[in-house]
Amino acid sequence: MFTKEYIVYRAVNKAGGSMEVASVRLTKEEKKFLEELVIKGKYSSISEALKAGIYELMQEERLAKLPWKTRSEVRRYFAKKERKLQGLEEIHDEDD
Amino acid sequence: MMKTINCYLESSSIWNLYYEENESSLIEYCIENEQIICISSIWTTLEIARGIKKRVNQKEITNEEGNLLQLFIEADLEKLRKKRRILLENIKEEDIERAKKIIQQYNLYASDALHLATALNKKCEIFIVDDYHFTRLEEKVTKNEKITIYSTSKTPEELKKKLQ
Repeated sequence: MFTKEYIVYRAVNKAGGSMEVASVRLTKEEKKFLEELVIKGKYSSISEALKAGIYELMQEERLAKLPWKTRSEVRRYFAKKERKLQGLEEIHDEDD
Repeated sequence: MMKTINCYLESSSIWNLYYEENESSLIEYCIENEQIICISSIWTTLEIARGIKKRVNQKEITNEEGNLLQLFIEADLEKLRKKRRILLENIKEEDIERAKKIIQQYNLYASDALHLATALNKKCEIFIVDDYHFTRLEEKVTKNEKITIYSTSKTPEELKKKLQ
């Protein structure tokens, strides 16, 4: 029989060795919602579903710091740059 | 029922959405139009990452600008993906096998062959690339395959007619 400490040790190592643990208080409705996502197979656990939400918030925060909001703003910004390359890849010929 | 067509966006055409001086109205039209199913390969994201890095290496853009551009493109593609405006296909063994045959048949580069194989396996009718790729592919491919190669500089008019 594995001890509780060993199970935690294994879980932490599997996750890369540096995972933090936090407990979250949820309403019945919130918990049920997350459980349903797991039952539907969208996430492997409640923890994974919560992490997906956290990643989305992190992404939103990063995007809020970007200097552009639209594709045309990006294009306009980089249009001023002196081109050293053409297109996505450098134009090149291979020996046949 | 609404007529739809599968349209493959090669990485150079997606790059055109974010970086090129002359924006392609054709690509924006495809992205916005519900009748067009835009398809590309997950490989495109890697080619774009390399395209950004090359510009940093050449000092065309700064490292900071490169990071911001990468972040913007990733987020925008994710948004388009969630809205089902673009499908980024995983690379499958059948794509690789078909790409090998394409390399033999048309003497294409591996990357071009992989894009074309994915497009043909996904039954795309249109394959959009930038001008440089267009001249490389058009003559070789259009004659033999059931796919039409469009250049990003083409206007959306022809595509509009196809959808009627």
